[in-house]
Amino acid sequence: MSTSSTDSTGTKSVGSTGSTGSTSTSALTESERSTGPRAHCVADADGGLAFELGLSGAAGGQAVLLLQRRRGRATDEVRLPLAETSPGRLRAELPVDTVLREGRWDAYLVLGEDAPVRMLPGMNDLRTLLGRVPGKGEDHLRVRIPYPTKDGHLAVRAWQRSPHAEAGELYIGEDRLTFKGRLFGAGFDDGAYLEVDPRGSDEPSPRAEVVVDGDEFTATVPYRVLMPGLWDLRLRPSGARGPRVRVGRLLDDVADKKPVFTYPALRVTGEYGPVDAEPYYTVDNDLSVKVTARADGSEGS
Amino acid sequence: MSAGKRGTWGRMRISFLINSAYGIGGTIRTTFNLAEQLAEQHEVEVVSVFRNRASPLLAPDGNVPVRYLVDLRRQEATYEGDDPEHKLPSRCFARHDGAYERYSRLTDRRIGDHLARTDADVVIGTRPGLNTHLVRQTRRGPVLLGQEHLTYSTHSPRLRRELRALYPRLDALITVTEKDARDYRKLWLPGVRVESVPNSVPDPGIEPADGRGKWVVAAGRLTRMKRYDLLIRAFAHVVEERPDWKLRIYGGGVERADLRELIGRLGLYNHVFLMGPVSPLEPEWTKGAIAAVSSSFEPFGMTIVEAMRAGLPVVATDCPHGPGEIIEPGVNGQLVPNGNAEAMGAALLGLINDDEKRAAMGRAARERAHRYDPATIGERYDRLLTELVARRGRFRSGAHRARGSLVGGAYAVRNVAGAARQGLGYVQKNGVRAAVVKARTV
Repeated sequence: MSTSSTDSTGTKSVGSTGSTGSTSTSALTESERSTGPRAHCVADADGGLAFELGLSGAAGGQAVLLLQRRRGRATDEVRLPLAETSPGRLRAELPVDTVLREGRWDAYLVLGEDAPVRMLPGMNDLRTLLGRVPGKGEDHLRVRIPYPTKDGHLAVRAWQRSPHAEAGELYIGEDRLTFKGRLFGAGFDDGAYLEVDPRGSDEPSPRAEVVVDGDEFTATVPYRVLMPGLWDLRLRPSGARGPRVRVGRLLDDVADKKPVFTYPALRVTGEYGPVDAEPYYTVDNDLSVKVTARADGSEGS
Repeated sequence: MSAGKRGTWGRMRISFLINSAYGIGGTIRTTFNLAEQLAEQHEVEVVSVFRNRASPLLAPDGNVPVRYLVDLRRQEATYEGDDPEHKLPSRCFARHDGAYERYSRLTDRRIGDHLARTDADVVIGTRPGLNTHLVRQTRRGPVLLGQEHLTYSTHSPRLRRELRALYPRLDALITVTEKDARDYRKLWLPGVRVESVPNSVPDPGIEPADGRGKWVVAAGRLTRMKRYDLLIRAFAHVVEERPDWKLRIYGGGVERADLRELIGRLGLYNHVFLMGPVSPLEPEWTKGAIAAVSSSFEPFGMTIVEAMRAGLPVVATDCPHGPGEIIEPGVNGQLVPNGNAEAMGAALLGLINDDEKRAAMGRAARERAHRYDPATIGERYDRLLTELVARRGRFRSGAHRARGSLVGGAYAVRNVAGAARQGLGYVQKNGVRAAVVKARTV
């Protein structure tokens, strides 16, 4: 029986993804199981993230958890010391005020002088991310959501925004989208409105109505004025002179909103003829509206 | 498996045979749970007929090696789905097992090679079609144990006939519910031990749910049998009274588009979310306060026990067979009539509106779920396998197997005409009559 040090054997398996089975014709090939080190992530209520891993036989004090931003610059790297909390148990903390640029950060384990090893996801305890209300005192809204990548490794999605407009519930009715939201890191002033930006186009952005209530707001996007294309939603909390704040949804435990938060399309006939319009979350978890011309040209009901 | 450890006292070599170890599903999960547990005392391997992913999603870190027999990863140079032999129908996999179309002459050969050479003391099949491989292709010697993760009562009459003919050659047949074991005992399977051992579910290893999150959680593949349409309709009743509660459904599957459409039509897109397949699932239960199971049929109900281990009371339909054997209504959950959305909505509201009752039932659920601990279930299997291996040792002459063959033979005679017709079809096409006859008489 092998010992319980399976975690650390991952240091040897980096890059050995090719089929290494026997060449006999029996086809009984050993499966190359992923045996990299596994980290259990625990999110705390303040926005911090802890990584816990079991690693027997690791040299104490030599272990580092490395976060590296994908497609990032050399400086997009954060090293967190892994401290031994009990024999064989290591823990690294990512405090909320550590700066992580927006993007996807791959997690590696670095033991001493060894080459970094991709980490595997474990049992993540992210329940504090659900319904998290960030503290008023934070200079930036910082969100980190650990998730398993498509190829089964551990990564962390990070956002760092100030100000930020968090989208809440959406209501789809008649010929418009209405949604609730909350503004972080800025205040409302007279003349607040929502900018509906045509993506990749210099066309003017239609303005949509915003009703403000404290730091919360309700915005209404009329579909009838939108031509076919993609439209990004930006809040202008203090009018045309103030900041442009992208509307997004960051404050929960879902790393990729796009496939989970989906909404029905509406058939409307507006200034650009019969179209289908639906809100959706982008790959960056920002809220946009997709408008498509109806091929059959049929009128909406 | 390496040789040389046999001398260790009481140590057995145990080999599981599974359709695929690389997906997500109840059978895969429970096989790994059991294999891991048995591996603490014994030498255990999991042999997966198919490989469709780089690595098993549900395999825990541990001591159980996984092997595969046929590579079905399209993007790999080792892809074998285009092998001409893979186009020819299988002769050893039960013809009326729902997975028959996935099996072929190629899988016959690979599984046959494996079973003819295995050095295991016990070979465990995990579905009817694989159990028929066991009795047809395993060399003399190993104990043959068939597991039934579905149920006899839902098998087609034709599959039942096949199993009645072949199962007498098993040493033991293990079901996951007592109800199903009773059904199998009504067959004439002389010398075959028929017992029920529930699936095991490990402790999730993270803090249990505190029951304060306003989430109802469900998990399973999005198939008709799971009746998530019913759950979504039930949740419409919940939202009318308690719009502060929400529902998450984990899993992927063919019904996804239809369910999305239903959520949109009922205006529940702020309350009901299809989360997609997620692994590991354990942490997702702990975010919830109540688990819901809306299935029209659950051979066992892994998710019920998983949710209970995480500290959630479970509201489930009283469908055949699992839920009623796991849930004690009013103690650790509720059972509602099969197919009744209103009753399910009412039962959910009953727990949503009573924080104290919900918390107490969550605690009771956790306690009750201990009986499904891998250590407990592993011990039952351990005892059973030890007895079976000892019995096999005493009757090396294979008296039971011979007797079983005769009984099976009697049933088989009735099916000979049909089998011959099928066999002849191949004979005419491929001119390999000898092979056909041999395969059928193994």
